[in-house]
Order: sequence, then C-alpha cells, then structure tokens
Amino acid sequence: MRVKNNFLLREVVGEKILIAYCGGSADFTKALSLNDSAAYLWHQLQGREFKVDDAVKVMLDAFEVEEAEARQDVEELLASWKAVGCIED
Amino acid sequence: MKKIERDGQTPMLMFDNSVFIPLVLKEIEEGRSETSIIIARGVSMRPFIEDGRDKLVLGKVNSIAVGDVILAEVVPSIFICHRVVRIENGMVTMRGDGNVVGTETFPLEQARAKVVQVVRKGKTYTLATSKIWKVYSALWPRSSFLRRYLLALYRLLWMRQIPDRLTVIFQTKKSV
Repeated sequence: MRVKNNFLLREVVGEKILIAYCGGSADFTKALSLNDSAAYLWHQLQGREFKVDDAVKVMLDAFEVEEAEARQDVEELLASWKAVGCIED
Repeated sequence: MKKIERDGQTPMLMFDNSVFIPLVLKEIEEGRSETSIIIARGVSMRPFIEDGRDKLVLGKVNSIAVGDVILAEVVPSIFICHRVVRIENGMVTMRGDGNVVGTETFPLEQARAKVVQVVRKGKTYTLATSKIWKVYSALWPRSSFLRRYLLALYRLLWMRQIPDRLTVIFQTKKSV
C-alpha cells in the first residue's frame, strides 16, 4: 500500500484534518479527522510502500501498546483511509 | 466543534461555519488551490441546490454580476451563499432561490468566493456555461407569491415532505 500524495494534513482548532487535493481543488467533502496516533502513523507512512505489518511496527515502536491491539487499530484505520481513497494498493 | 458518533463508521466532526468556512476560503485566497469543494448546507438555494446532497465548487471572486452565486461574509463570521440579485453603488444584494422573503445586502469586498460549479445529484454544472443552469436561472420566478407555491410543490412532490396539517388530515381519515 501507499498513501496518496494529494492528501495533506492540516490543523483546525486543535483537530488534525486530512484534506484531499485533486485537479487544483481542495475537496473538503472528503476530509478525515485523525487523532494524534493516527496523524503520527500518517506522517511515518508518507512516501513509501508499506504493508499492514509495517504500519503495526510503526505503532509498536512509538507507543506502549500490545501487538494485538495495535494491529486491530491499524487495520481499522487503514480501512477508513481506504474508504475515503487516501491510500492505494 | 462537535463530534457525532455513527454506527460502524468513523465519528463525524462538525465545525461551526465561522471556523470551517475561513479554512475553505484560505485555500483559495492563499492560492494553495484554485477551488475548494464543500457540501451544500441549508435549503435556501432550493430547488437547484439541495441540502446535504449537492456540492459547491468555490473559486476566487474575480468579478461579480447579477445572477452569480456568491459566498459572502455578510457580517463578521456569518457566511451566506446566495444568488446576487442587485449590485448598486458598491453594495451587493443577494437572495436565496429557495427564500420567499429576505435578502442580504453588504459591501462588494465582503464577497469572499464565487460558486463556479455545482455538483448536483453527482452531475457537474459549470455555472458560467451550463445551459440548464441558465434556463433555470431565467425561469425561476422572482415573485414571492409564485415562489411560495412552487417551493411548496417541490417539497411535496420531489422531497415527499408532507406538511403537518396534511399529515393530520391523512391520519384522521385513516383512523375513521
């Protein structure tokens, strides 16, 4: 998988929002809110190919969390990112 | 800002317009993007633009003419997106297509963005060139009297919104 480079993370009143940029337009209809750990993961995955295991490892290295819990969170997160089209296979 | 939980989906964040719209405008005004796309909210631009269903593509205000749809900061932090009906002595007057009464008048410089396209039921209409938009704009009545009845018909036939008093009549008839 790969995060698409036309999505940018912006901060709005303390919330981190992922906004789609496409064909010269900022598409606020596809905006997605990220919490701090999701935003961290987003930054770490920029510009490289990754698998679910790579994303889980990023979370395990950065946060004190059990692997099963990290995996479940990562899988849910990646599914929601896929749903708005900000990652591609 | 408020968070709305949704079954089986990621929670939805709702920002106040006074926070959200400046963010949308900043993208255009600072040249980060040519246009910003937002979901249309409210019923005041019915029948062409429907609340929650359609999208508005906003661009810079290079010029304003009667008939344009403009997003304006009518008073500080209050944003309204309606059709321009008059421009006089540097003042712009707007009126929502779906409004029977009420207009907004403000200085020209308070026009912050222009609707360049409407994505209606998934189909994109470029307002400067769309024949359908031009025909609709020409035919949609200015008269409050005609608008009141056309909008009532639209709600009844297209939106299937039955007025409360008719619901009462139907329920009464059923129960007899």
